[in-house]
Amino acid sequence: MTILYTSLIVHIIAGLVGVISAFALLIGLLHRVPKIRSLKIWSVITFFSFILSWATGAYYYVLYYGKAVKPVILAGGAPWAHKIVMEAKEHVFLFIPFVAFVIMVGIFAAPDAILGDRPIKKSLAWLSAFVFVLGALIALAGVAISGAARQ
Amino acid sequence: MNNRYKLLKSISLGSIVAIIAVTVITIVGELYAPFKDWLKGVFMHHWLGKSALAVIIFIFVSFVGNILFSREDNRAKWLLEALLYVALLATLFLMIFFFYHGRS
Repeated sequence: MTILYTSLIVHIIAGLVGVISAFALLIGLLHRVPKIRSLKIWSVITFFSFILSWATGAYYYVLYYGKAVKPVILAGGAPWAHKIVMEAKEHVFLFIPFVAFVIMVGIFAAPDAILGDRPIKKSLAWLSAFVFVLGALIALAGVAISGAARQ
Repeated sequence: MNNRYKLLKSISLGSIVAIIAVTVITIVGELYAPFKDWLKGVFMHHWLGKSALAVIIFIFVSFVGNILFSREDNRAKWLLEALLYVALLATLFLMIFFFYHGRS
């Protein structure tokens, strides 16, 4: 149980760190002259946070959620929390690590384009906004699922 | 354009194809139970199967892209924009799909 709870806590914290760092990336990229060093740091934190959240979430989800949490939600007053929210959450989450990886490589590959305010900078900012908004929605979905399990 | 831009273009293409693949695999798995059972059988859990296939497809397409894209190719911005649109559409598509599928 201790490892399972630890994995759930790490999953949540790493996901939140990923969301916060994606927001920091977005703000950094919106500056007229961004600080490349801090963008690199935030992009690495964003990517590895979501990888950690992915791995620990997988451990908890595969070994515990399906057997112990999902039946409770389905038998409770809000089965939609699993059927709709969890099903959508677990699948759209898979997009985030790939987009975060592209942002990280983009920042390391194109510092000249970012400093020169060229179109790649704008594209990386939009991708950071996508990761931030989707990550925040997934965090809210996690709150809804936890609430349904406690009913 | 240098080798770093070539890598950026390759992994952007790899991510686009991986996201489309996850979306298709997920919907096929929900509508055709034997496919979801096959994922469970091979990867222990259907979600682990989707995760593993996404990573394998990403690596393969990125590798092929790295061979196909030339250093002079100037489509990095185009591929980043395509990734954004594909990720947005795939997210909306899966949310709408599970909204209707979860109610049935």
